This record gives sequence, C-alpha cells and structure tokens, in this order.
Amino acid sequence: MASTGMHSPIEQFKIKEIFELSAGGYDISFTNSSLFMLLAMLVGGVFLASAMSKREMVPGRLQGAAEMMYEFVADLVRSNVGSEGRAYFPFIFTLFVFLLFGNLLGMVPYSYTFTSQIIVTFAMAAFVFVGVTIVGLVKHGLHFFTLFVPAGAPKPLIPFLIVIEVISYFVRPVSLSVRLFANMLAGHTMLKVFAGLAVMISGAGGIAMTGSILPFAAIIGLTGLEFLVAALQAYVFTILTCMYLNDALHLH
Amino acid sequence: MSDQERHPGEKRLKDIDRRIAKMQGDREEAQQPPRAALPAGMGAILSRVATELVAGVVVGAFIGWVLDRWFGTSPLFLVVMFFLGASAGMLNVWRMVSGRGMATGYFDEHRQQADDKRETDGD
Repeated sequence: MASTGMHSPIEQFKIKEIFELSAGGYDISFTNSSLFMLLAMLVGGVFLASAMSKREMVPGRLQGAAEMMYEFVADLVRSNVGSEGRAYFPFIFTLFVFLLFGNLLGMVPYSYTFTSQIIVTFAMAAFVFVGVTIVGLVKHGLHFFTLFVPAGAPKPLIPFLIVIEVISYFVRPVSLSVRLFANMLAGHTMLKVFAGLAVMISGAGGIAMTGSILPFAAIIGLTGLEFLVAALQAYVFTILTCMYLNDALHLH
Repeated sequence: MSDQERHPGEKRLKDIDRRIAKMQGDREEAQQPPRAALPAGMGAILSRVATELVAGVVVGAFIGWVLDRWFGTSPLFLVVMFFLGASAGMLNVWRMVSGRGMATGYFDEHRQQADDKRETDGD
C-alpha cells in the first residue's frame, strides 16, 4: 500500500467485486466486504468451536479466551438488562463476536474493514432498533408508547415533548451506526495518512530520510490504538444494544 | 458446622432454605447496581456529544422532509422538525452528561414522584 506515496488514504475503503451476482434487477455481487463478513463469521465460529472442543475443567489459553468473552458478554447482559435479558443473550453474543472479529480482521494488512462502511453498521443498528421495538411492543402492547410521554411535564408542553422524544428514539440507530463507522473510518484513514507520509519523506533520500522516523513511530502507536478502538467499539455497540433492550423490556 | 446443629429437623431445613433465598437475593441485588458504563474518556465523550447533536438534527430534518412529501406542505415540517430535532439532540446530550444513560422518556426524579403517587398501580 502507499508504496509510491501516490495512493489515496481512502482507497482502502473501496468496494471491489469478487464475482458478479444479480437477483431481480438488484446488484448483489459478492464483494471484498462480503468476503470479510463471511471471514469474520467463520473465524469467530471456528475460534469458539475449537476453543471449546476439549471442554477441560482447567481451561487452556484458547479455552480461557473463549470463556472470558462469554462471561464478559454474559455480565454485560446481566447488569444492563437483568435476568429477562437471558433470552436475548445468544443474539447479543453473536453480535459482539461478529463485530469484534470484523474489526480485528480489519487490522490485518491488505484486509478490508467492513465496519468502516456506514451501510453495514446502519443495517445492523436498524436491525437492533426494529428488533428492540418489536420486543417492546410484544411485551407491553400499546402501553409501550408511554415511553414517549415524559411524566411530570406541564400539559401544554406534552405534544412538543412527545415529538422530541420520538425523534430522540429514532436517533438511536443513527448514532449507534455512526459511532462505529466513524471510529473505524477515521482510525484507518489516519493510519494510511501517516504511512503515506513516512513513505513520501523517505523518498526524499539522503539525510532527509531520517525525518520519516517520526511518522513511522506514529504508525506504531496508532496501530496499538486501533486495536483498542476495534475492541472498544464492538463493546460500545453491544452495550448500547443492551441498554436499548433494557428500555424496551422495562419501560422505566 | 458445629456438632449441636447436626440433629435433623425441619427447622434446620427451613433455615437452609431461608439462607439460600437470602443469598440468591443478595446475588441479584449485588448484580444490579454496577451497570457496565460506556467509556468516559474526554475524547469518547466529545465524539458522542458531536454524534448526538448532529444525528438529532439530521434525523429531525429527515422526518420533516418525509412528512412534507406526504402532505405536500414543504417546507413547513422540515423547518419545524429541524428545530425539534436539534432540541432532541441537546436533550440526548444532557441525558448523557447527567448520567441518565440513553433512556428515552421518563426522567428518574419524575419517575420517582410518579411511582410515589400511584404506589398500588403495580407497574
């Protein structure tokens, strides 16, 4: 990448078709983005399956890692949704594993970070949003809509407050998806910008080449930071899903 | 356990039941308060505030635009919903920084009052 210093730092986000497919007039080609989604699913699945295949009483390193992930998400669900959240644990755990492996696979050189596409994160957030709303409607029926009426508000203000609450409810999938997408996009772009800088400076030759040490050091630091962001954003997405689910289940 | 507790009896069984129930209650209670929180670094909070503000305006304006298209009232709803969206964004930011989580609707203190009022409603 950026071997000539001419590459644009956003070239890494380009969608490339691997083979073409279309159904009913829609382009559903298998792209590099789909490939890495598939990989995230496979790697996550294989990791968990192989880690738990032995089921030792005293877990080894791999099994320990898998159990840590499980317990981490289980604690998250328990503390944010309560015991009623147990039914939704499989979904939330799958979501977390998929996002975590998607983000981490994106850190592999020459790979593709599918979470840096707003449409991917928005589709996931919209699914969570619709699902949570349905859960709330099924559990509480029409009573669910009292969620939008702030208690103790002055009567003349209530119509406005309801509209504001409804908007702030619809903001959820947007802020949920934008947060994940923006973090991944910004981080990966920054990495490529510094990498391009390092290559460009080293291209100057002679004593000026030593100047490329600075951006190179920055890349090392940023790469570490990006691993943190990859895990953190998977966590943030998961915990917000838990909070929304809790709102729908308990209605305050 | 000491020797004097060894004699069998229903009293002891009941005692064990009671203790198990108490411990389970403790466990449930202990698990409630420490809600896992979102990252609270300066950068994390800043980016969330920015996201909430912008998302509020965008979603509000979008809803207004859609309503305008339905009713053919352009640009009435767009303008109104733009400002209501901005207030929704600010409301969300306020909720976030005042530690109310992302809960839509009822604010804690009002919920408290409402609960006090209709104690027997069972909701």
